[in-house]
Amino acid sequence: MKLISRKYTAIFAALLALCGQGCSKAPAAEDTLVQLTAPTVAPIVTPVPTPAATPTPIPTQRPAETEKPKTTEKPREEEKAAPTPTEKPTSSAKTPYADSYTPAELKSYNVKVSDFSAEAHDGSTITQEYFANGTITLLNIWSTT
Amino acid sequence: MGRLAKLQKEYYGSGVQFLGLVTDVHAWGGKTGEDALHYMSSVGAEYPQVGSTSALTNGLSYIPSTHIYDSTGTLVAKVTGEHSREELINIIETLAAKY
Repeated sequence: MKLISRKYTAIFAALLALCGQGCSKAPAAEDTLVQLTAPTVAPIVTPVPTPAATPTPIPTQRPAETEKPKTTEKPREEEKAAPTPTEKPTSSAKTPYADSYTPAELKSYNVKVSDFSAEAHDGSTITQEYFANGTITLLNIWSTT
Repeated sequence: MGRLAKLQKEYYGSGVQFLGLVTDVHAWGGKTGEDALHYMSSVGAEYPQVGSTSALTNGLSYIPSTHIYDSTGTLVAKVTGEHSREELINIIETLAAKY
């Protein structure tokens, strides 16, 4: 008997539920249904996983173009064209009496020798280039008479 | 010239160099050239000697003289006549320190 009455009760509740969908008194019927069916089956609530908040895509920005230094090939050409400076003879070699002399008062001259070429006593040729070999050159001018 | 010949040996390699010019030598093969070579040998002068060259004797007023040039070939000092060893050293050192 209990099974039958339960069966009818379930049918009745289903009819009421169907009727309640279009009826304004549906909530009351539902309440009744809950009250009737509550002891039997507990509603299974499956938690719906909330989707993880997807990060808002940040629009990729093109990196700002760094200005390239305006280097041209010209400086290199200029370097090539630049004349090689003539090495000035260094006076690193110490003169023998640098620490013990009395400075001489000498009249200042500023006359550059013109180009010349002369044969030396040993057959070599002396030109104005000879002066570049030393810091100073003493030209001893003399005669046999 | 003997003093200069000795100083040339003492200053060798220090940046101070020597050059001789014989005003009456125009060719080393002649008699004057032979005399000059003989005299150079007697005083022990070992630095190069050239014959008369107008480029180096311009403005010459006295023989013997010593003209001093810097490394660019610019005449920077003139010394006329004979000088003692000390005077020559003072002149050389003064100019070597300056140039």
